[in-house]
Amino acid sequence: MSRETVRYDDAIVRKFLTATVVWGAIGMLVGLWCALQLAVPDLNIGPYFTFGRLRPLHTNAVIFAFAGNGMFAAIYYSSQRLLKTRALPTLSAIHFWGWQAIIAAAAITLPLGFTQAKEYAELEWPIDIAIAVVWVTFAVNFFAMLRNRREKHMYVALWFYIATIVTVAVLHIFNNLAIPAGLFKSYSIFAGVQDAFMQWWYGHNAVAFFLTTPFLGLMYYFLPKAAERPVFSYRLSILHFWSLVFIYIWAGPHHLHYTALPQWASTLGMIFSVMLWMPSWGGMINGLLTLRGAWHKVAEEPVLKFFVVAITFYGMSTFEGPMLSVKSVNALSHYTDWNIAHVHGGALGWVGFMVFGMIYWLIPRLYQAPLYSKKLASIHFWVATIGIVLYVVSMWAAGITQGLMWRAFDATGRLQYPDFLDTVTRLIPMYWVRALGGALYITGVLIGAYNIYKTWKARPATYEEPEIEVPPMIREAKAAVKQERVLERQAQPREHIHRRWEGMPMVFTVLTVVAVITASAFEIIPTFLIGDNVPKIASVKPYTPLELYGRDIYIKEGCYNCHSQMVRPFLDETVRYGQGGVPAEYSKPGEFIYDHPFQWGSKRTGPDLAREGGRRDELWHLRHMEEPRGTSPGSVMPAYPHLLEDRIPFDSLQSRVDAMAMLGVPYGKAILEDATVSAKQQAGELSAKLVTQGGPQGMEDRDIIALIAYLQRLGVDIRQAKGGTQ
Amino acid sequence: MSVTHAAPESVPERSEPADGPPLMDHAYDGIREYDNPLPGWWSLIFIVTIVFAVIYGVYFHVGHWAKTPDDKYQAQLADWTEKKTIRDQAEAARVDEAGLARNALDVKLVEHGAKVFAQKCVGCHKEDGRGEIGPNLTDRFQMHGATRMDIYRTIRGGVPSTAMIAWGDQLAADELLDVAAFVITLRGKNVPGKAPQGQAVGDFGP
Repeated sequence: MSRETVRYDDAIVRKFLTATVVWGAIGMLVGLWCALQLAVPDLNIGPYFTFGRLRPLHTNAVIFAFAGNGMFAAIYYSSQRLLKTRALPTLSAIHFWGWQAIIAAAAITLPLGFTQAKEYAELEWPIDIAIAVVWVTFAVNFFAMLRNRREKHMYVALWFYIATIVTVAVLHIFNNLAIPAGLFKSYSIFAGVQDAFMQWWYGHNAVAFFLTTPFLGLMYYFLPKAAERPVFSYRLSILHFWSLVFIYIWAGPHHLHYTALPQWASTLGMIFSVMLWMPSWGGMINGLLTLRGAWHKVAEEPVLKFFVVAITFYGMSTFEGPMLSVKSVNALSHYTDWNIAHVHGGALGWVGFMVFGMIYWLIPRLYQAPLYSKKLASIHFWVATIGIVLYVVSMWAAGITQGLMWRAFDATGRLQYPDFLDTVTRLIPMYWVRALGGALYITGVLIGAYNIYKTWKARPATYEEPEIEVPPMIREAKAAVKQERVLERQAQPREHIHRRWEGMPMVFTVLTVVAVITASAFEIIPTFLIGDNVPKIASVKPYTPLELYGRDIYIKEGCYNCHSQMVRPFLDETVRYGQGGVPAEYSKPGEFIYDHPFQWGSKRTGPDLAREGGRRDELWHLRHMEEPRGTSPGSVMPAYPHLLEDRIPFDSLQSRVDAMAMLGVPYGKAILEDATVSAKQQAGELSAKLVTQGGPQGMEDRDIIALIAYLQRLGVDIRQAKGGTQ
Repeated sequence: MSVTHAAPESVPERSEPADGPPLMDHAYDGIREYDNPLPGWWSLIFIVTIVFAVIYGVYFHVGHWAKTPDDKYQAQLADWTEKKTIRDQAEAARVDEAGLARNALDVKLVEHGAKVFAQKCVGCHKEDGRGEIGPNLTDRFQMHGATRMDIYRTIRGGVPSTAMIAWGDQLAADELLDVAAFVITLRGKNVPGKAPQGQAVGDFGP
């Protein structure tokens, strides 16, 4: 057999690594800004840099830019070596520059208010298409490596990469299906309950397949490398891989407990989350126990310190997750900062520390110079660890405090904290501690960036790219292998079945897809097909064109980042969101059939708005948007004075209405022919009402009128249904 | 940089060294794998969670043996409605026109009412009661009724479709009474502010 050689492309790894650090620092600084906005509302600089627009920028940047680039660096470095083949340079370049262009587009469009208003899927349709194209490029590059591999079997890290690549593609495409109503405006093709289901199927599995599986793959490569120890258990890796991939996919509905989602779906979300506990811990065990016999190195080596803490946080988060998915716990935790604590334990602890551990291991190898300072790396580790602890503990305290305040009744049946604002101002000190924790974490990142920079400065003039002697490609050696197999079969017992799959990437990929799709189908198909899930309510009518545009403002300003629209079947909520001493109706599935996209929200920094219509007069809303602290002293809401200036683009209403009509929203003939007539009439009536209340003149063509029209509509239809039956 | 060379692969897959856990024969870029058995507690908890999941699903959705969230909610609502009726009756028994008139002369009560006003009411009525979103409380006009009791009732029950929510759900009985007393004292102070709304009612009666 002739000897062949290969050179690994480390230039692409260096590029992704630099992008990881740069975007990571930016994304986290935006996060710190958001954190401070909640303590100091004046840091909202409207219209572009309010919390509602910056928070999606923060989440998208840290997920897709920081974790994304970090994952790509890990995958390109490790896959080339595990498969003994070189990534295709053109595809790598398209992947890298395409991904950075997408991130830049996100950084521009999100502050401009171009958003689909679905969490972690905010980017509008042209960018979504670009993401799909770049992701497919990446997939082709990866599968080409598998095809060109010179190592017969795939190592466990590669299984996790395969699961990541195929599942993220499926999630992204299905959750982002939308009808455009302009270059940067679209409406989800799903509505209400179904849209909520799709969104959290996506949202939860983005956590699973974007923030978990690739980093488990990363762990399986870089941890044994750094510890110079064999992995603890091969059979555990098989079991926890398959159980993780199959079970994770079901768990999404736990984000929607006690909402208008059908109970059976909610239950599936909970019980699969509980069953997910051990499959997740299988990864933790395989990580921590790999260090048996290497613990003395942990004290010396910052790389291992990062890995140990990362895996510990992974274990903690994957216990906390199933716990939060238990319905009765979720009743307390949902919509509070407890969720914020949970995701940051995972993001800062698990993902962040895995990335930085990897980076410190990689840079001497990539820059072919010794790490500038081991001591600085240790300082980074300690500062960031303290930062995470402050962050997570303060948000646990804030979440539990607020959750308990919301539900507290006194002996006479009066809410103990009926004013929502009291439950917000109580949290401000904890928001300061959180900001301090975040600032420490970022300080660590900046120290790390300096360390990397100094190491890079000491790099050689040209990087050595050694030629590695490798066996022939498996596919070229197929005939020979076949022959060998026949002989093997005669001489030896056959390979274990899973071992055989490890040698067949296509079979492995198909099995992974089957696992993911089957599990999804069990939940998705009934959600869409069973009519009982969404009983119709006769009095629920489509939004008027003006209200629809008002809803688009609500979406554009990112109101869903702080306000839910979902009254759960809890007495404290129906009483809190009731009117005139009468508890509200809790939210019903039939109310949301025209909500493309749904706006149930996931966090209540402000009160729920599902029953807002008719609670207050128009002038209150106007003054409150103009200067929230005027009407609500102590409020942390950003001010939106530009809504009183900006004009309603009446000529855009028709395309919005038409897009909704395409989705099956039943508009009458008059509106389909000319939506502006109805909109102008409604705006005129509302602005006249404002004047009689003592408000300003001339608001009939301003954005604020449309937003008020929308807010005054919320929850009104179902109240009529109730009135009608009485 | 050192990169390990490909180790030729061999079947059997696993070797069993005498002094350590079984080691898989393969190596990937130098990474080896033990084949330790699954920890017993791990397998046990995994099985327990699966059994729990099945039981939970059957209990709630096949047998329908548990109360639904709506069942629980309706029970809570009935209990709450009873409590609210008792509270409403108790508060109604404590208040009449003459009592409100007396309260409005009691400096301590009015001071307490002013504090509540400063917390809850100034957003719409402004700190001196001159009004902005809500009406001017210092003129001799009233939008809902004419008496002190009408003021109390408006505060307690609110005004539908306006920012004047039902403060009876928000404030304790004493707070309601005292803030009413404070508002009564504002009558006739005539602070320049929002133009008069409602009916001219003059000063309060005896």
